[in-house]
Amino acid sequence: MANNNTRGTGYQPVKVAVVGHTNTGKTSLLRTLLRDDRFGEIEDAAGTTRYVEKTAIFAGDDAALTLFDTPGLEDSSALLQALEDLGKTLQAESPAELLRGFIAQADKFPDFDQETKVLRQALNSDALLYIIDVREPLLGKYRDEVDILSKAGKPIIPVFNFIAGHGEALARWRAQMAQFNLHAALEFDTVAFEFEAEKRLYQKLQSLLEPHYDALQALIGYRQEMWNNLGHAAAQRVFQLLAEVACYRQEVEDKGGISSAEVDAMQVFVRKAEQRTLQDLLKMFAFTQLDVDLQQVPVRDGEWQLDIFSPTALKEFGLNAGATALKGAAAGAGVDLMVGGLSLGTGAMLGAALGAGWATARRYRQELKAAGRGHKWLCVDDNTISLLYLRQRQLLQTLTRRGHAAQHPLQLSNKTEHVLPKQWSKVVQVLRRHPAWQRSSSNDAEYQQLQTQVIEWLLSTP
Amino acid sequence: MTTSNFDKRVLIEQIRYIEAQDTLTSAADDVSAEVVVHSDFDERLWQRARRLIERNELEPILGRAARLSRHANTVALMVAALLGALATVYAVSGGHTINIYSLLLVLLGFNLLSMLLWLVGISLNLDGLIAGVLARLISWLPGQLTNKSQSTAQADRAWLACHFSGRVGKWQLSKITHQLWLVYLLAGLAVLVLVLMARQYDFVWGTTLLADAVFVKLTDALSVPLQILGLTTPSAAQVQDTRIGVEHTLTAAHRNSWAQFLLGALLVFGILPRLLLWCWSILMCSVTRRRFVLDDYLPYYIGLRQQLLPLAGHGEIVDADSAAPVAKAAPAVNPVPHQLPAEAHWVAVELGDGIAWPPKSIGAGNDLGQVTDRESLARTLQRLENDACPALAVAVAAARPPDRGVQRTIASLLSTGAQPWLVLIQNHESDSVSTTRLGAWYRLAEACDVPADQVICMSAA
Repeated sequence: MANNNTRGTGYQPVKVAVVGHTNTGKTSLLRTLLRDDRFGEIEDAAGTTRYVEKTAIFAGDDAALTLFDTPGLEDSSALLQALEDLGKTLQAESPAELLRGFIAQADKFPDFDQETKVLRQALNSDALLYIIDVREPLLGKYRDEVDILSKAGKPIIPVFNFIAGHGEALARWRAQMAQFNLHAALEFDTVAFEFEAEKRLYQKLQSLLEPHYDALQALIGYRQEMWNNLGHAAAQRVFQLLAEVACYRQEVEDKGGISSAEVDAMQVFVRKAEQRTLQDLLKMFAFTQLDVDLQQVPVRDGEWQLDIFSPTALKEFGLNAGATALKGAAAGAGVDLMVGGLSLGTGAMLGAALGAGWATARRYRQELKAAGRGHKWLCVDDNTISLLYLRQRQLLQTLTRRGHAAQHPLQLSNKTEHVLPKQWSKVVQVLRRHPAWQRSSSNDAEYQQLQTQVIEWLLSTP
Repeated sequence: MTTSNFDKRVLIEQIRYIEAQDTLTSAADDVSAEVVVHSDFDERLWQRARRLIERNELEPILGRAARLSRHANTVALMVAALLGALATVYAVSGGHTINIYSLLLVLLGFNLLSMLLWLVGISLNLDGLIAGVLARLISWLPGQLTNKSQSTAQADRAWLACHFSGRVGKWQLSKITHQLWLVYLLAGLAVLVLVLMARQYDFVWGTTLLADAVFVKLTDALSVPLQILGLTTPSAAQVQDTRIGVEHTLTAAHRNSWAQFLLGALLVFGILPRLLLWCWSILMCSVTRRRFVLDDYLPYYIGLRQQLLPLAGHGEIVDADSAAPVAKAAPAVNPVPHQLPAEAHWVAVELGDGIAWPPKSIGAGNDLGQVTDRESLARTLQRLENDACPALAVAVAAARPPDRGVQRTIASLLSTGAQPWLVLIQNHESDSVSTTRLGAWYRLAEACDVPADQVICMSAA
């Protein structure tokens, strides 16, 4: 994260008005862009936003983009009629002049109070984002809206919202917008969000607003870096969890078999570790319980609904539940672990050979003692660690693919294949051999190497 | 005194460790003050840490580890000096004869072995070999900090983690190791000089396994750099004469050349390499400290980044709503609808693609078509004007949200004087429409003077 300390772009912010028919998701778009689900008001009813609200997107210290959320256009056909009537009496030199004339006489048109606000803001902006709910039929009023907005003389980018599962409607809307010469349209689902769509939005603005090209380029770079960092940080947190759990070991007596209390203690440890990770991840992505519900993440009150040790959880992720009396636990002899530890690489081998044996002996002291007492080590079994990996991977994918605008539960396409990476068991083996990594992340080159590998797996596209 | 970037980052890490266990007193105005400052994330973190240190009086806690480390270093240096001196004293304490190679082995042999291990360690990146026992001791320390107060122990752990792990740790440990050996050798050299000045020694050497020629060649080889430095070294004949068992009285010049050889060897093969390695370690330590960065991917720093360097600003209303608030009356749900007159005419308003118009139940003669734009509205109004009807049913899609435009359209259609009806069409009976949406349609009906009992629901099928 070396280059993310941008102090600011030093450019003038680009002013963009978010306009469109009522209830098309203007505020939702802004919430998603701002990553803030508290911005504005959202209701499933017309006329929810009745004012113009300004906000900004920063690139470092400076606002790179000033965004204006506007009230929805509700009666464009009547407004267009009023403008046409006014045009007959007002000798306007340009369509924009006509709009200014209309705004100047706004008190004569109290029914168009909201529309007047939109027009005023449109005239004061550098570009307009025209939000379209593609589920809506192609009606005359929408054509009238584009007709009116184009009078402002500002670049208009149609933004197609709610596109998930509405491919045909989207094509119809594209064709409709093309009739108005609005070809630089954008697909941006405020609910099923993808960062690439956000990037494309800035790129479209770039292509239409040449004087602001550099400012927007700086913004794209900054947002991309922030987004990558967030994903990386989340994946790193998941790796920490995997290390914490894989390194777990508890000395147990081997005589009468492993007691259920010992297994319970291990399970409590794993559950708590996973819960801490979950909370960290939700916090990183500003995910509230409402978001969790809407995205149908199987989480309740900050805990996974399906217990990590339930056979159903294993089956759900394609892992073989099998019949194990130890419920997620695995037992190994201390000496085995020690031998495993010694064979881990040249480091320990050379260390032992060249007189650093004390360090090695100290490291495996616990194992040697346990072996001497005839005790075993209770560890978390491979299946549980694999399940943890797959579950966190799925969670990461959900977290990085949602907007802040959902209002209803949405079934995101859950086609993630629950396949473990090829080198997975090797990674688990190495982790198991380093109990010291359980408490905190390590600066060891080996730890860092494993971390890089697992982060890559977690962030790779399924 | 200016704080280096490394020290700032160590303090930030110490704060992070403390905050992992404890909540520190902060003030809301801190954040806003930090946000407006034009500075990078690291600087903002530092400003925040500084405020937290001041507010929570953490300075003594945060400085403890460094203080203790300085004391420990001083003690270690004294011990190293003592050991070096004692080693020399022990080696020369056997009467008036000094076994040259035995003394060199005591003073340089272990030193060379340790240097060799260090070089292997640094080349192969083996932490265990870089500082040996020292590193183990330091890795053992954090576990012993549990008896201290939580904040103190956490601050100490953070300090140790920053100074003694990773790349910085590697060179820090190297620096300490070389420094200790250097002091050991210097003390040994100083004692040797003193002893050689105060007493007269005869120099001897001997071997059990090796041939005498080996020592002659060895002395010859070791003498080369010493001669470059202008030191007098023993000749091959003098070396042969010093062999244990050879009856020969050493002259003052002979003794002097051996003494110079001994001191020169200690200096060139012991002190000088250690000094160079120490300087290299200092340099590398400083480089790695400059390159030391915080792990910004930790959730702690991600959270602080969002707090100190927000991606977006807060909303600010710039054109407020001047109209009176819209009263949202409770929706009249499930009114008892009257029977729609059979002679009623029908007109659909913005039904959308999902609903086919007209339904089979409506005769072609009673259907006035669908209003989807200004032109179709004008046509329908024209027809209504020309062909008066006793009742007019306006069909709308119940699932779509009514807006002022739809309301105006319906109001204009119903202004002809016909008995007004509003028909809410559902695509499928099973498709439920929310009560909020129904309420919005009833409010629209009320605004268009359609009595609630003349609002009916109908399936499109």
